[in-house]
Amino acid sequence: MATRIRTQRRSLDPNGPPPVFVITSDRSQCIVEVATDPMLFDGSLAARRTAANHFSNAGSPVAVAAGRATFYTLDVGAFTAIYRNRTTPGLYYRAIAFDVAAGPREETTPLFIPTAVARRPPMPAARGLSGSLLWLKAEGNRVLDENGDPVVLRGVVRSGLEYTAPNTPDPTGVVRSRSRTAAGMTAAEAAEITNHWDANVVRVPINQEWTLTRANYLADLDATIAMYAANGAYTMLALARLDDRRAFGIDATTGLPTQNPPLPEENTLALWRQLAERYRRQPAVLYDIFNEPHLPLPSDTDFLFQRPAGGETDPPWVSRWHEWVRRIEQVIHHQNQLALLFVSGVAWGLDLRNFPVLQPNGAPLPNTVYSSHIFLPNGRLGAVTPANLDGVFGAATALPESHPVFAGAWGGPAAQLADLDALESYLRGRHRYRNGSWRGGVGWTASSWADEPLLVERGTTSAVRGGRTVSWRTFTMAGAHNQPTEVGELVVGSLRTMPIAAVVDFDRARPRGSRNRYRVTVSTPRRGDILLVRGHDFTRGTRIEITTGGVTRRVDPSARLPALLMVSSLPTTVPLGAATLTVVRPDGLTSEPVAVTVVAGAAPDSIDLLPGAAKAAPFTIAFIANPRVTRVGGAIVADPIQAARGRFNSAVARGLQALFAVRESLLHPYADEIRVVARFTPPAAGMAPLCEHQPGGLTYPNQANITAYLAAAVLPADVCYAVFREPAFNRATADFTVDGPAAFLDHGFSFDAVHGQHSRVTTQPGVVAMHAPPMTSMTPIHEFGHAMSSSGNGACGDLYVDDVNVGFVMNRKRRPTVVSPFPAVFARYGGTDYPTDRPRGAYVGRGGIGYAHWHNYGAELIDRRRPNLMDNFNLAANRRLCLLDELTRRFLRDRIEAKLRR
Amino acid sequence: MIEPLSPEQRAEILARNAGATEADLDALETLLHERWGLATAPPEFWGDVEFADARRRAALAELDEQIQVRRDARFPELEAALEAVLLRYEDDPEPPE
Repeated sequence: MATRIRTQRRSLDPNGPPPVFVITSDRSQCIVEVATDPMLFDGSLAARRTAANHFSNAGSPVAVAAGRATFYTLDVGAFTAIYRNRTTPGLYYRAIAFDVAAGPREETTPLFIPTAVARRPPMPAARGLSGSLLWLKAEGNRVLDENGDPVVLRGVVRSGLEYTAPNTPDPTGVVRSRSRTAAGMTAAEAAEITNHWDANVVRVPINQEWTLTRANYLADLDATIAMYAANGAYTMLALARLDDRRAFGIDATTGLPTQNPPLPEENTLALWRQLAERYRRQPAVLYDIFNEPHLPLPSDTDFLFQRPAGGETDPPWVSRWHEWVRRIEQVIHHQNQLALLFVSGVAWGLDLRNFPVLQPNGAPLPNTVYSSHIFLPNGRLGAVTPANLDGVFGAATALPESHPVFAGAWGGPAAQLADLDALESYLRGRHRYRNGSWRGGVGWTASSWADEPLLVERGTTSAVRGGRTVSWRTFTMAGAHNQPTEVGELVVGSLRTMPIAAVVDFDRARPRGSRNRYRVTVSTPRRGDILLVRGHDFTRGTRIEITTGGVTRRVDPSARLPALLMVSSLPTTVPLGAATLTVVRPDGLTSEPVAVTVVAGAAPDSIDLLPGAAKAAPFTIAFIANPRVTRVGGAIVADPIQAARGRFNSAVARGLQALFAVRESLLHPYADEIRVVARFTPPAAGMAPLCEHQPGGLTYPNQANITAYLAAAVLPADVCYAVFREPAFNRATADFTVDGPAAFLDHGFSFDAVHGQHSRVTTQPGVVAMHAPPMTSMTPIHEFGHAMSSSGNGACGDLYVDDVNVGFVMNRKRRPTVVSPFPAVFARYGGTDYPTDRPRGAYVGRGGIGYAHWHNYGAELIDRRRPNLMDNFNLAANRRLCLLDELTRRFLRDRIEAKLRR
Repeated sequence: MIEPLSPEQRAEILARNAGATEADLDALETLLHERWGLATAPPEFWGDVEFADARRRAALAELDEQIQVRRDARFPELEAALEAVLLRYEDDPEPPE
């Protein structure tokens, strides 16, 4: 009879007594061993056994009854010590049978007894937590929202939830029954982080065991997510602690035990399975799967496995982390395919050199962002230089070119302020386009709101309660807000500076508390002429104030872009001479005054409204005052716009506003790379007309003449608006871009069965004949949609007519008959199927206009409540809210990016 | 290619052109779009290079004539209507957001 051991019950009762083992053997004595990991049965690992992970009754073996089953159970205390520390959902056991102590032994194969899992009701899908936040997805090296717009996530790490026990004092000393409130994570604080500091993401470290075992903790997570989402911020749940007991060695920096585990464990899979299921319908939740993988410290006695050869970034260790990433990704995406994952680098999260993580078939993991943690000073990083930072972000293997990268935690003490400033600049340089290509950065979360290195000041206080001294950490307030630390001052300044701004106006030379400056630059103020004020974060309602001799005059801009205010014609009531100019935002933020001199006199012929990329041939949009026009009947005369410079300037302002500052964001991501120039010159003798009036109230642009005009003016443009004035013929029209020759083709595309290539250069610009003023605020961007497209490489047509398509029209298709069904898929472009805008249920199609008896149809709208921008946007209650459909926006952006790349 | 007519423009056009109907205006719009669509068609649309320009000019001329006839017959005050609507608003533009 061989030795056999089994348990009387098939599973462990988490709240019950130790298991009863049933032993049968033909030997007379038996040792029973129980362990949290089967490797501990290996005698070579005996040194790693503790009362918390291994039990053996070798000191008093069980006497085995001959021919009968023998029952044995552990001491309750011994069992509890092991059970509480298990890292798997159960325990391992085996038997060693013998007759005499020194004689031969028979060992059974280790067996596993799982913990019973109660049949539970489905996890309540937390409802309504996400507010109006959109789903985010990783596409290439960007993170996009549902509308296809690139998103930059910037915010702070708000720790506390991973270590704050319930029934402890909050920062005001009041004992709170929940971890969240005891940590001080209140709605008021959430509002400060999101509204006052302008964070749109908060990284929240969490505790694995508490998530798995405490319902109240899950409710805390729900409340945290809801608080931030109510203020427009995403919550990044970051696994930072496995429980509140284990330490993983001594941190050499602090000399204190660290609770930062080196790797995940099996319960980590259960954690993410649970959270992915719970938040399956919540776009507000982002998944930072494991805080800071690292080689276990020499003093880490919890780590049971043999340490691999090599160092932090060597394959034996890196491959272990990659394997965990693959397993966790499978678990999360099995529950929620839309979940956006954040994966830390090795070496305490820093190093992304050996990434991305690949699936077994070699494909990259879907919907995954790679995150580096950078704390200064950092011996592994070395000096904070672009080259070194490129290194840790995986530039050597082109990681940022193919995958999104993020800084999940960055910070340091005040002594590192200069280097942190440099780090912020580096990160800022990553989350933007350069030459038409995204640089791979998708943002950061600065560390930390509540723990070292602090972003806001904290103190400690104590009180005697019930005869005991109780201490708690406080937040230091400056008025109604938290007092930033020196590093916090840099971070809040960065957050309040829009992502596309090239730099943060942070002046370290100034005293603390005054280092964030809000400065603007101003063009020469000339009466009757265009005034430009450049800066950043010009919000709705921002105005200009000009002060002369103590008298302040308010000047409202004609166009307000996030980084530019344009006054189309400086009032002649503004006194000449010395003055100061300030910009005032509705929230009270006022720029530092700029000394100016108001002048009079002739305006220059040409002005750069937006400078564009600093290179020889940036993508350029030109507004030119039409010198001459062909009237109906053929007469060629000077265009009346030549006598109406003010109206020309106003039309240009309207054009700027429509292109860069309405809800349709087609050009917004590229605003700092596009040159916009306005040119007003009188007609030279014999100059060809650039526009011609047509019966029906239309005016056509003459593309050949405009091309020649621009060449003569040495003004290469990709799209050109010829601005004219004739109210009876004010309907604008546009002609398509003629792309450059084959030598300048950019990447190819496939559109259904059509294969084409976007071109980097323009042979003839797309042209628009636009009235001064345009009939509507959206006329300039509607016509831009036409002009930016190409009749040969995909024309963008009007959607408000049931015309037959001429050539390759990318945004309009035709059914065989008016009763033919609408296909589900409008077109496949770039490997993505774009649905059709179909009538369904109460929805009639075309944003509410309906298809009537039409053959034509378009692609699915981003916003079905109003017409497509290329449709009759005049039928919308507020035409400025009209959008392109996603396919057209993607197609036109691909064309724009190709030209930005030249 | 062509800026869409607003409801106000359509109303003004019909008000100033007695006897013209919505269907008449739609038909004129269709012609205008057809004309501009042909004018902006890619060169290969017109077939072999040798006769492309001639074909293009002929097609446009035919449409120009149709447009003129329809405009003269039904919408002699069309341009005046467009002017009237523009002048109503041009000095009171929508403020920037």
